[in-house]
Amino acid sequence: MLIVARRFAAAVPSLLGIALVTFFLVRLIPGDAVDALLDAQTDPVVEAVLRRQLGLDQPIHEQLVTWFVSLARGDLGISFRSGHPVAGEILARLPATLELTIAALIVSLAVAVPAGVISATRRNTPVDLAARGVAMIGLSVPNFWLGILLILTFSVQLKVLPSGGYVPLVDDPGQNIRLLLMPAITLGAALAAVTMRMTRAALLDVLNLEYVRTARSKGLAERTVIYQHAMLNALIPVATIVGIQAARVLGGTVVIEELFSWPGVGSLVVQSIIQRDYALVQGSVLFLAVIFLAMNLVVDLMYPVLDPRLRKS
Amino acid sequence: MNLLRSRVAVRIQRLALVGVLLVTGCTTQPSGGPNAASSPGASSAASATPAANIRFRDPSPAPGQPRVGGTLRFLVRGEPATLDPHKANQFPDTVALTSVYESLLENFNDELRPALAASWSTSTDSKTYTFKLQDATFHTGHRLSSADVKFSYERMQDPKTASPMRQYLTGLKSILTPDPATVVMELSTPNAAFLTIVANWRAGIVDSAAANDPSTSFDKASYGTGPFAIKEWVRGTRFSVVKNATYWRSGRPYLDGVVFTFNNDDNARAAALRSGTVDFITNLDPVFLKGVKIDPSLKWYGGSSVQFSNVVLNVQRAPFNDVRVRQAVFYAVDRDEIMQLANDGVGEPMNASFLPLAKWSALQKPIYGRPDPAKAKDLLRQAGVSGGLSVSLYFNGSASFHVRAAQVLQQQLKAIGITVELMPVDPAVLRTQVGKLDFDLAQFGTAGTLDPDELVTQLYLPGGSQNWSKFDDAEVTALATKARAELNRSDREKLYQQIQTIIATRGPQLMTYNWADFEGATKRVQGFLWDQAFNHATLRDVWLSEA
Repeated sequence: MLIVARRFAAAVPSLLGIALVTFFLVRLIPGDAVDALLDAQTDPVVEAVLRRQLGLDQPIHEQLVTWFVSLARGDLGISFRSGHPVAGEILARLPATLELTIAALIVSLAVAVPAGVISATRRNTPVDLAARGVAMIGLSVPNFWLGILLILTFSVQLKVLPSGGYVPLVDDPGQNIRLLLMPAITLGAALAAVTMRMTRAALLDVLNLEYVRTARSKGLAERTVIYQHAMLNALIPVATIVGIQAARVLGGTVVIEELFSWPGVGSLVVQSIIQRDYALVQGSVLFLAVIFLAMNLVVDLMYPVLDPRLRKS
Repeated sequence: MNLLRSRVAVRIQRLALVGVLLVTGCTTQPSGGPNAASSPGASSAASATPAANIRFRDPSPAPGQPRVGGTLRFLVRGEPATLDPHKANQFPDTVALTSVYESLLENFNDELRPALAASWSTSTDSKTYTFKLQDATFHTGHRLSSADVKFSYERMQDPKTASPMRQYLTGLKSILTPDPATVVMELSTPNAAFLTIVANWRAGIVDSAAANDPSTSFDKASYGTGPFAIKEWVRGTRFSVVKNATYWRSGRPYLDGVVFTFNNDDNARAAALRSGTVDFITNLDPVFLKGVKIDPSLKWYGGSSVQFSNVVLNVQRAPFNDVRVRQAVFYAVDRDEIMQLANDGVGEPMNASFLPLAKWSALQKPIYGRPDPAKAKDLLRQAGVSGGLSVSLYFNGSASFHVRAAQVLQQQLKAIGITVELMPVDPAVLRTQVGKLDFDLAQFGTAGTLDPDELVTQLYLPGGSQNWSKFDDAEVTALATKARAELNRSDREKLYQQIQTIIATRGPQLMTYNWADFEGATKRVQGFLWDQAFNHATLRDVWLSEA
C-alpha cells in the first residue's frame, strides 16, 4: 500500500505538468467552443452571451486559476457542450471502455501466448514461420479494415451478429456479448500480433539460459521445462507490453469505437477536441494520464508475483 | 452549414424536379391550407416523381391498412448536441427534435403547411400575422395555449438562451395573446419571409409552465406536443422516444416508439442497414446507393438537397477586392467538373444563381458554362495582376468531398496563373480564420432555405450571419429591402433574380454545385415521406409491416 501511495505522490508533478500542457495546448488550436457550437451561424450577441456563460471571456490566467482551484477540490469541471460534470461524462463511458479493453486483452492473450510458445519452441519450422507471418499481417492490417471485413462477413452476409451498438452488460448480457464480439476481436487481433512476437522473443531468450539447460538435464519433461520454468520468466516483458497496451487501449480505440458505435472514452476525447469542449478535453486527458500511471503501477506490482527473485527486494 | 455535412447525391433529373417543385413550392400557402400531412404520402411534392433518381416516398405504397405498433430502429449520422429545440443547430438535432417539438407551421419540401397553427392570416401591410392554434396537448399534460407560443418566442429572442433563431426574430416587435387560441405577432418592418421563419424546426413551441420550472432539463424531459415524447437520452449510445398517446393528429403516430442510435462512419451505417441491425439510416453514401437499389430487402429515399457548395472570396483585401479578379475566377472555373470529381458526378452545377434551379426565383438561364480562360486572363491583365497570383484556400479538411473540390479548384485556377495554397482545417478553425477576415478563398457548404430572403440576408447584406467577407453593395441592399416588403410574388421573384445576377457577376462568392442527399431503409419501413431539409417530423406517418 505504501508503494502505491509513494508512486502516486511521485506522479503529482508529472500530472500537474500534463494538466498545464493540456490547458494551453487545447487553447492554442484556433477557434473555441463557441465557434464550434455556432458553426456557420454568426450572431455577435449570442456569441458574447455564450462566451460569458462558458467563462471564455475571462483572461487566460484566470481561466487557469479557476480550473486549478476546482481541480484541488477534486472537481474536473463542467462540460461546455452537455452542461454535465466532466467526471460524470467520463465515468459514464468507463464501463464500455473497460469491457472492450478486457475482452480485447483476453482475445489477444488467448491467441498470442500459445502462438508465441509454439513459435518459440518450434523455431524456424513451418509452424513458426506461419505464426510469424500471421502476426506480421495482424500488425500491418489497419484496424478498421479488419473491422469492416468482420461486419461484412458476420453481419451483412451471415447475419449472425449485429453490426454495431451498445447495450450495458447488466441490461442484457446476451446482447451485450453479441455486440462485444466483433470489436473485441478487431482490437484483440492488433494487440495479439505484438504480444505474440514479444512472447516468442522473450521465451527464446529464456530457453537459452543456463537454468533451463539445468532443468532439461535433470530429465524434466519439455512441457514442464517450458510452462513451469521458462514461461514465468518470459512473461515479465510480456506483462510489461500487455500493461502498456491496456493503458493505450483504454484511451485510444477511437476508430473501433466509431465503427461499432461503441460508446467509449476514446471517442469522447476526440469529440471534445473537435467541439473545443476545453473542460472535457482537460478532464479526460488528465484522467487518461492517471489511468496510464495506474496501469504501469499494476504492471510493476505484478513483477514480484511473476518472478520470485523480485519478491525479496 | 453543418446541417448535413455528408453530402450524398445522385444526378438530379433536373426537369422532373423543376416541374415537381415549381408546382408545390411556388404557391403561397393560403390561410388555413389543407392539412396535407394527415395521410401518409399526401405531400404533393411526393405525389408525382417519375425521376428514377429522386424519391420522395415509396413508388408503390404497401397494401392494406397501416399496422400500429413496433419500434423503429433509426441510425443517425452523429449524436445530437442538445435536446433544447431553441438551442439546437446541427443535423442530428434536427432528426431527434422534429418528432418531439412542433412549430406553428411546418416546412415540408418547400411547402408551408399547418402544424400547431391550424390557420393563419397576414395583414395587407405584411406586418401583422395572426395564428389560430390547434387543440393540442403537451407531453406534460398541459393544454397548448397562446401563452406558450409567446413564452417560446420570447425565449428564442432572449440573448441568454443563445438561440440560433434569435437573429431571425429581431424584427418581431410584439406578441399578443387576445385569447388562449389566438396569437398575433407584430413586426417592426414588413417581412414577406416571416412565415418561413415561423415554420423553422428550431422555432418549436415548448410548454411554458414546465420550462419556467428551474429544475427543467430539456435533455431529460419532454416539453413538446409532437407525435413522440422523449423517453431517455443515454449519451454516446442512444436517444429513445415513445408514442404520444394524446397526439392531436388523430390516429398518429403508428409506431410505439423510435430508438435513435449514432454512427459517423458511412461504411458502418450502410452495413447496419444491410445487415438488418437497424431499420433506417440517414446520409446514405452514394457509393452504397447502387447496392441498396438492387437489394430487394432495402429501399432508398432522396436525391435532392437544400445545400450547396461555394467559395467565398475575400472582398476586403487584394486581390479579390478588385471585381475584375473575382470575375476572372468566375470565368475560369468549370463548375460541372468540380461536381463530377468532388461529388461522384451527382448534384447540379450552379452556373448562375445561388439557388438550385428547382427553387422558386432561381435564375434559369446560365451565366457561366464552359470555362473561358482567355477572358479570365484578360480580366486579370486589366486588373494589373497578370504576373501571377498566389492565394490561400481554407476549407473543412475532414470532409473528403470538400478536399476533392478544393483540389479541383486549385488545378482550374492554375490554368489562369493563380496559385492556390490549400489550407485544410477543422470547422472551428475555418470559422475563426474567416471571421478574422484572414483568408483569400474559403470553401463552404451552405443550406438554402425556403425563402430566398433568408439566404440573401445571411450571405450578402451587411451584418448577415454568413456574409463572411463583409460584402456591402448598395444596390443589393436596396433590392433586398424592396423584395422583403414586396407582397406580389412575381414582382418579388424578379427582384431576387436581379440580386442573383449582381451576385453572380460581381458578388463575393463563387457558386459551384448543389448537393443531393439520400437515406436508406429496410422494406419493413412504410409511409416515410422524404424531406430535402431532413425534417423527420413525418416519422409520425411511418409504420412497420410484419415482415
